Amino acid sequence: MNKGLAWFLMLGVTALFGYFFVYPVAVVLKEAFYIEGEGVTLSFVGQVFSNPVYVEGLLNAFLLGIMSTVVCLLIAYPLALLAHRYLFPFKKSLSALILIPLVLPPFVGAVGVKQILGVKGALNTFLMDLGILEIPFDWLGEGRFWGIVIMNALHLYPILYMNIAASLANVDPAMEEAAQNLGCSPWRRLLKITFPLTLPGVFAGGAIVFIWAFTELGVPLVFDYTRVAPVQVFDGIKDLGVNPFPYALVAVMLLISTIVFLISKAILGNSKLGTAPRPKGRSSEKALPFYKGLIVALIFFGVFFIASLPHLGVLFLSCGEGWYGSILPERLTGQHFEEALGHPLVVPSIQNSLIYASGSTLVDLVLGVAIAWVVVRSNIRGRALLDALVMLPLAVPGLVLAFGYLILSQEGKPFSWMIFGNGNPLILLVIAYAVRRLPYVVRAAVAGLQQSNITLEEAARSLGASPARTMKRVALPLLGGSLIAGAILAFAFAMLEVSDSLILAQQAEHFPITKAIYTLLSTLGNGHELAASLGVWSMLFLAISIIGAVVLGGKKGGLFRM
Amino acid sequence: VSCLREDSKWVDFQSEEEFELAKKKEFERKEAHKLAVDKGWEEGLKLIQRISANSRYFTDSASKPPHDVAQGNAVMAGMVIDFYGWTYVEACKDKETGESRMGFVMPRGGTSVSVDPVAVMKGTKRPELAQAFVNFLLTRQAQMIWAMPPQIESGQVRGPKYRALRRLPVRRDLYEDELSLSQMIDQETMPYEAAKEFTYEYGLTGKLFTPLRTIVRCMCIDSHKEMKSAWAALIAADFPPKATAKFHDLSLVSYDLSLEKVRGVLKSGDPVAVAKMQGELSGFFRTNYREAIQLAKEGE
Repeated sequence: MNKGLAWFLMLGVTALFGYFFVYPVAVVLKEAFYIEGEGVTLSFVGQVFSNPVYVEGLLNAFLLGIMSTVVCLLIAYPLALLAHRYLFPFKKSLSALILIPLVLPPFVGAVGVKQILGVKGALNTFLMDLGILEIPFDWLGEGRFWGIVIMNALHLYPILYMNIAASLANVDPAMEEAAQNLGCSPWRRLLKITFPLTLPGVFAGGAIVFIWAFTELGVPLVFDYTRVAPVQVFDGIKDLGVNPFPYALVAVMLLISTIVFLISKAILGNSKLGTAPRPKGRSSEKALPFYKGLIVALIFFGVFFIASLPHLGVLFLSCGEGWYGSILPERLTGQHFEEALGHPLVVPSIQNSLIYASGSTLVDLVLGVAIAWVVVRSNIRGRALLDALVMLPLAVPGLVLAFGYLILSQEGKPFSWMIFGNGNPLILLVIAYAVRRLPYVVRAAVAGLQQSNITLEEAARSLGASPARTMKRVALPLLGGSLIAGAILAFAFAMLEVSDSLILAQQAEHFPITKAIYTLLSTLGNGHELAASLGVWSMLFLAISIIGAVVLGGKKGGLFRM
Repeated sequence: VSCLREDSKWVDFQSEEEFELAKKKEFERKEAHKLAVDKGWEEGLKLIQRISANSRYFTDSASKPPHDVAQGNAVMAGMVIDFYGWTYVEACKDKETGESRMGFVMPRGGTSVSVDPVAVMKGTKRPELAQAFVNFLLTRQAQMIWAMPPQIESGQVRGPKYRALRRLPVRRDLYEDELSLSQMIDQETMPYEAAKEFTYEYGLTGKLFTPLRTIVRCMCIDSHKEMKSAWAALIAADFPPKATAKFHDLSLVSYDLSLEKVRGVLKSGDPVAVAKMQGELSGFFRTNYREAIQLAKEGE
């Protein structure tokens, strides 16, 4: 362990992070705690708590976060367990398939959801054709809270799935076998041995899901659910004139998110899993009889199917015509695709997004490995603080950071160098994307390092390998799977990032995909169809890259298994 | 001359009685006017309350309401900008029958008619070219591109290539010229005629423009959930008088209070005071709506 190098990395990363994350957020938060001419104040935050509408908004956001996490867990844990225990038909493809719902941004999915859940939408038509419904039910209007919970859960369960799968892969089979040997029933074994051993994965994923759902803006907007904190912040920031309360609300949300993260950290810290012996190389997967295997495969496919219904909605919208009061569009047409491809925004936006997202993923990988190494492999003071610090972007609503960057990148301000003379926001967007997605890569790298046995690295060192060689030949290959998973997530999210893209890209030739979709959406008449077409292109692209990476990772010894 | 005042008129000096009478009349006229203004303000707010209570959501996205109405999600109607509405009417046309499942109307009386402005940006590289474009927009040819159906060419005037834009020309003479009028897709819409029915007295409500936004926000948007429940309870109980009066209790936002207190706090620019007032107003309406539900349940 090279202490000097550790300190150097930590200070370097902290400085970069302070400049590109803490500083812009502080610029925004200043609005919440500072009165011109009077100095620092807590009266704005105090006023948030004395306004019942804001308090209810915070409470609703909190409940949405909790319930979304619970429903996510109910979906993800059984799936992860099934995948861990059994071999079933098409396992490899299905395990990759169920990760896909994560990559579509809600505001594109929203277009599909509205087609399906609308009063004259596919679901109502289907139920009325079956005779279950007499008159159409207003799913979007009446089912707000639970509608959002289900949408969140169907969008976010892959995060928990991946974390639980990684945890399960690291449970020493000997533990379970010992319990079985001593006469433990399968259920009891699950509750007493397997589940507690996978808690680190549950909490790591659960914290991310909670904070995501807690700060989620897009889905509540689809359901027109306004009494929830993120929407109140969004509406408040758009208020003309100076209104410090959205910023005060952001400060409160930031605090809650940080507390949740620290709690999950504390629970993880108490776990002995990190020091548990590495699982032996043998697989514990059991081949299922054909019909049982088929049922498991169907469960996987069913979850994927339900979770990707919004995406299917987008697909049908992009190639259909006359979708009103019918289960599927009345006619198929290639017209929207044709028109979208001919649109000057579409092809350049795909190029732009590829460049921005690749750049930010690269930045994340370098920073992520460095941070994880300091956090896991060094024993310098303050490394836990560094770990907590780099997780903070998860707790900050994207909009807030985007506003910070916007303020700081104006002419004459400190970040103005990040926009080229022709208005190209390349560096600004790469850094903005990288900062917001860094936590995923750090978590993946930390998990990988924690789970890869340090004695292997020590063995290499004691046999005379240099630190660099140890890193290259032992440590990196061992954490390769986790790292690829983290990088894919970071890349996918960057490709479809919303807040920074909408606010920071201001000229049409530099628009990333999401801003192009957003712009197309407001095209009168067939805007939704055009946006859906671009949405389909980007979904296709991401699905291919994810499946490709899973297959690639699979060949190298499993993406989410060690 | 005891009756001499600053605003005395010559007729006041005819006799003491005449003067008293004139003073009384003037007083009554002012009283009646004040009452009418108060009542008009109140009726206006009540109308806004009833429309809000029936509405599904509030949005700042202008293209959302027409889309939702077109998709049948907002069951009855939504408020839109004219050409947004017309564009969706066009998009919802049945290919065979040519009939649309959607319609657009400008309700008489309270509809303001305006056009989008065009101007040359300061610091533009080619100001002459930009100004030439602005000038072109005002020609008959350009104005008719806004108004004509697509793929039509008659003489020198050409419509849009692909889709009707369905915007209203700003040039008044085009509505007076029969040929131009006959070429327009929305011939019945006579914006200059419709605008006449919109009464607006700056002296009465000009200063209330900003307070009105805060009032609508507290009365309708912040308390929308409670408002809708109260409205449903009122309908279920067939509008019992006490409950209905509670629902429409506007005592904190009367004409005078809005002009003095609400406007005063907003003008102070003190964000804490503004937030406090908003909290109070929202709280007032939320409580009213909740009490209206209770009263309606009791049938009062």
